[in-house]
Amino acid sequence: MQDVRLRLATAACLSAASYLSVFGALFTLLWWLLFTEREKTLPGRGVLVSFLAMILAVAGMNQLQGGDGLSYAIRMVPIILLAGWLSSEREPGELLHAGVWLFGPKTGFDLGLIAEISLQAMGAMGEELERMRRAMRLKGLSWSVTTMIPIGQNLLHMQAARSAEQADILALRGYRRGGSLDPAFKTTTWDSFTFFIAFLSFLLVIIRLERFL
Amino acid sequence: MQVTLADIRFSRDDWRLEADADFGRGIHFVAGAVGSGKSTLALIMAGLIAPDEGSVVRDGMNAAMLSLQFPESHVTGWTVEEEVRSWGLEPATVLRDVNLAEKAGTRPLELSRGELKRLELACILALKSELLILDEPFCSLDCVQKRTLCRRLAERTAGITIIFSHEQYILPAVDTVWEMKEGRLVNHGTVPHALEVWGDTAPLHIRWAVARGIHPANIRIEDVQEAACRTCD
Repeated sequence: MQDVRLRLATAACLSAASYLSVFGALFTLLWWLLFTEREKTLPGRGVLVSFLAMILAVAGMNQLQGGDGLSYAIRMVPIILLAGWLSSEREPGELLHAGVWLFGPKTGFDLGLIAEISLQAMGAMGEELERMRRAMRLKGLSWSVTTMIPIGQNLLHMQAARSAEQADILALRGYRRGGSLDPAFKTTTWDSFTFFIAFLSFLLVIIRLERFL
Repeated sequence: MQVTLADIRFSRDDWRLEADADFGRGIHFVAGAVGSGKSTLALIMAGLIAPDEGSVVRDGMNAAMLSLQFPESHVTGWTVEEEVRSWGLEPATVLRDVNLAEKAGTRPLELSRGELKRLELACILALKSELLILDEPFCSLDCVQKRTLCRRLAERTAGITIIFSHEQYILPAVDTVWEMKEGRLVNHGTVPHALEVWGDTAPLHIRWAVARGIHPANIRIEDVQEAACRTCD
């Protein structure tokens, strides 16, 4: 899906549908199976396993306390798949365009810029972490509390230094608040169709269609 | 003792890398432009990433040691002293060698990049690995430190040393020259013959010498000067 506005709206509709009911979660799963390049959109194995473990832990505790943990797990898994799809489709700079289109050249530009910088920083931290894992393998070190603490601190230190540099660059370029940008998007009929299906799923959940099935 | 790259293939989107080569004892210099695949090949040779096809066979040696391009990537210790210990080395000796003894308690990431590169290289060289792979070891070093590194490398008389670098001026004496060219690892052969066939991507002083019919014994500027003087005589 090339249009970031439709992609965000689709993600919002399907996330809400999935969170609100098991019926919506099944719709979301079906949408993900039909309209995405499944293998390419899956998050990395480590990320997927850690998210699933987190969901299952919460679901397990919920179940033990008399809640409906199974329903929670079923509703949350499609949201993780959706997050992977959203992340894999992202193009640099598009959130800036979406921000300006949605909230205008001042607040929208700032929000878009924050979103872009944040995602860029997360990507950079992921790459740094991968390099550190390689360094640990070279040193013959294994993951433990004693190695994780300095590694976490170093990651934050590097990120803080990178943020300071970015702030300096923005200030040097004269950035104060907002900016001029003519938002541009490429919308295809297929994008609109897949969004329409997502929106329909959300509506069906809202009107609680499962009551009539 | 040998490292064999058996029909290695690696690709990401439109970018491809291919290598089919044997690296024996001695110092190998792998040249190539930025983005030509040197760092990726170094990671594959060190066993840190797997190729899509082919294999790396290390004959007669244990694990490889790799100096990563960016020294920050090596840091796992909270202080300079802890960082040296994380390599399994005694801090006092290493820090004295690189003139960083007074910074033992400093955070590694608060060192200048040149100091950090010096520190990590000193640790890696002190391990005396049989297979030593250095990815851009001259980056971030000043001329004095580059020359010191060249001397240290010359002292390594055993094992296999593979230097991936686009350094053009201060270089160590090497045995074999390779090049990453259009996604392929090309063997230019042993020096001095390799200098005649290296071509447009060779360091300027080598190209200058070859164009004038001067035949340096190795890739260092001193070798060119010596050969030029010999030719003039």
